[in-house]
Amino acid sequence: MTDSPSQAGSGDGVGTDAFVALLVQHRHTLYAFIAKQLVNPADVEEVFQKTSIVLWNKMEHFDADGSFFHWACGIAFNEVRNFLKVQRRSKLHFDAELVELLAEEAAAESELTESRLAALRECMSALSSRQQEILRLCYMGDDSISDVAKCMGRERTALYKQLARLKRKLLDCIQRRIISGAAS
Amino acid sequence: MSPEGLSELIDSLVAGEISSDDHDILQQTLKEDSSARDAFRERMDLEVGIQTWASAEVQASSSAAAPTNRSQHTDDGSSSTRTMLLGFAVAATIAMIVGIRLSTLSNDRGQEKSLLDPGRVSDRAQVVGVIRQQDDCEWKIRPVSHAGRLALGKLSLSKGVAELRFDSGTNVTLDAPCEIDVTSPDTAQLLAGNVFVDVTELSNGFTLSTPESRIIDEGTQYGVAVGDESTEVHVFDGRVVWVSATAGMDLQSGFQERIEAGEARSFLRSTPSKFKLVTLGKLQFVRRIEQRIRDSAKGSLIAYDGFENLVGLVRRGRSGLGWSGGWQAGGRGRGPSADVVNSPHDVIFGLDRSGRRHMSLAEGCDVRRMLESPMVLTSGNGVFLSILLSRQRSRTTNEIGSLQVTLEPDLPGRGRRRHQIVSFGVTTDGFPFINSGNIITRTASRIASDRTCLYVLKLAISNRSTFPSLRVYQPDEAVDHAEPSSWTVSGQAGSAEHPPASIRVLTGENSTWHVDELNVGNTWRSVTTQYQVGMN
Repeated sequence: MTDSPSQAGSGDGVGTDAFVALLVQHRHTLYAFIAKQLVNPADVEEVFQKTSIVLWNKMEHFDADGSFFHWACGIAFNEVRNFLKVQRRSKLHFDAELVELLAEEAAAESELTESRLAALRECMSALSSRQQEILRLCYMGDDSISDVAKCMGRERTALYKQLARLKRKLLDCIQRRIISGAAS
Repeated sequence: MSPEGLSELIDSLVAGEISSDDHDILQQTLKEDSSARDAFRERMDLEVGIQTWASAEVQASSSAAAPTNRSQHTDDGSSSTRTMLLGFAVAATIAMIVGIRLSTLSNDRGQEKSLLDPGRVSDRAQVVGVIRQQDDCEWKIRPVSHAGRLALGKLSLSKGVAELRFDSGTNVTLDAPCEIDVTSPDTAQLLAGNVFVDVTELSNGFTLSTPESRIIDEGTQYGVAVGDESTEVHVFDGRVVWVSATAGMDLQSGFQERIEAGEARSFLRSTPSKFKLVTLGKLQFVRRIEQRIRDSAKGSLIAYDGFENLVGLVRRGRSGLGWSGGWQAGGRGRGPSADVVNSPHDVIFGLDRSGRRHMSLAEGCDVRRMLESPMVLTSGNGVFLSILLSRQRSRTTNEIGSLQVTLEPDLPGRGRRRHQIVSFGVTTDGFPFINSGNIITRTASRIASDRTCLYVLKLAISNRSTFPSLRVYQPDEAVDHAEPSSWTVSGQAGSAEHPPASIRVLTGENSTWHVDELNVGNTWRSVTTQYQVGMN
C-alpha cells in the first residue's frame, strides 16, 4: 500500500485535494486505531474529530514521501493521551501502559485492518436480511441492546446472545476470507 | 483466561456494561497476554467495520430520501471536498466527508434511546445533523432522531442546554426553556426561549425564524431570545437582517432592520416592526463576555472561567478560555457535584452579575480543570490567580465548611497531590490560608459566611522556589490597580520543580460554596482588570 498522493503539492506538504484523499483513504483504519485504545464509540468519535482537526492544521508538515497512516497515528495517539488525561477519572478506560501497547500494535497492522474491513463487507452480504436487520438496529442508532430488544419485543438476553453469535460468525467469515485471500 | 471468558469481557466492554472489577481483569489480561490483545484488536476491527456498515446504510437511506442543498461528496476525496474543509468547524466537516458516523447525541447511551421517537421519524425522516446535550437535559418534546441523527421536527428543551449541529455548517445552542422547530437543513423556527447561532464559514447561510420574523445571517454569530412580549437579537460577529412578518403580509414585503456586530435590538412581538436599542450583552451570551475578558487582559491572561456557560454543565468544557476540557472529578474519584447556577442580581467589586452565572459546589466536592498547557515558571516572574468565593451559610448547623483551591502539576495519580505547587482557601473555622512547602499559614481575621470575597494569589518565582502571597478583598474594599505592597497572608517557600498544569477546587463538609470569575495570568492586572474597569 502506498501513501503517496497522486497530486502532490509544492514543498514538503501535499496539495489539499491529495491530503483530503489520503484522509478519506485512511479514515477507517485511523478510526480503528483510535477505537482499539478507547473502545467507547462516543469517545472514539470525539478523538477522531480532534485528530482530524490537528491533521488538517498540520497538513503542511506531512512529508509526501512518508506514510500518511503512521504520521496520522502519531497525532491520533497524542489526542488519545490528551483525552484520557481529562477523562480518566470519569469513565473506565485502559491505563496509559496498555493504551501505549495497543497503539503500538494497532499502528503496525493497518493493512490487516484494511483486509478485515474489506472482508467484513463481503461477509455482511452473506448474512440473511433478518440478521442484517438485527445488526442494523443495534449499530445504526445509539440505542442500547436493552432498548433494541424492547422495540423488537424480545428478551434482552436472547438478543444479546444472538448478537454475540452473529459477531462470532462474522469473525469466522473474516478469518476464512483473509486466509483464502492470502493463499490465493 | 479462556477465549470464551475473554470474549465475554470484551462483549461487556463494547456494550459499555463492564464492571470495574471485570475491567481490571480484562486490562491485566490484555497486558500480559499478546494473543488476548490480538483477539481484542481483531474484535475492535469488527466493531468499527459494523459501525461503518451501519452508518453507510443510514447515509444511503437519508441521501435517497432527501438530499441536502450542499455539494455531495464522493468517497474518493474529489476536489469538490476542498472548499468544504475550510474554517472553524473542521471537526464535523471531516467527519461528514469521511463518512464516519457522528452519532454524538450524548455519552449516555441509555439516555440517547429516550430521544428516539420512531412514530415521528417515519413522517419526516430527513436528517440534518447531530445533537449534543448535557447529561441532565430534559425534553418536553424530544428531538426527532433517526439513527442517532437529528431529523426535521419540533423539539422543546425544558432543562439544560443542547446544541444542534447542522450538517449545513451552522451550530445552534439551545438554552432551556427553549422550543424550536427544525424545518430544513438550513432553517429553523424559534418559538420560545434563547438560542445562540454560530453560522460557520462552511455554511451557505442559515435563516432563523421567530413567529413574527425571519433573521437572515450574513456570516454571523448572534443570539436570539424570544420572550412573551419581545424578541431580542444580539449580534456578536457579522450582521443579520431582521425581516418582520405582520399579519397577512408576505415576509418579503415586511419591515427590515439590519443589525451589525456589537448591536442589539428588542422587537415588540405585537408590532415586530417597532424596536428599541438594547445593550449588547444584557442577556449575557457567553462569547461576548469571554472575548471582553480576553481583550482586556492584553495577552497576559492564561486562563479564564466565568462560568457563563451556555452548555451549563461544568464538565462539558465549553466555558472560559485557556483550558483543556471541562471540570472533572478530582483525586477522590467522585463525580463533580458542581453545577452552573444563576448569579444573584448583585454588583461585586464593580462587576454587575445580573443575568450571569457561577459555579456552585456542594459539600465534599472535588473538581479539577486542566490548563491548555502547563504554565511556565520563570525566575523573576510570577503567576497570578484570582477568584470570587462565597460560603453559603449552612441551614442545619452552625458549623463552617472549608474550601481549598490548589495549583497542581501534571503528574500521574497521587503525585499531583503530593507535589502540589500551592493551595489556598478558607479553613473550617473561617480563616483564609495558604498551604505551601507543607506548611499552612493562615490570616488573623475570619471571613463571614454569605460574603463574596475576592481572593488574589501571587506565586512569585525565584530560582527554583515559589513564594506565595494572598490578598483577600472584602466586598466593601476597592481592588488595587497594581500589585499591593502588603498582602493578607504570605506562605512558605515551595518548590518550582513542577509547573502548575491544573486548578483544583475542593470543598469540605457542612457548606456549599459559590465560585466565580476564575482568572489565571502572568500579571496582577490580567487577573483583576474586570474589577477595575467595570466589565459589566
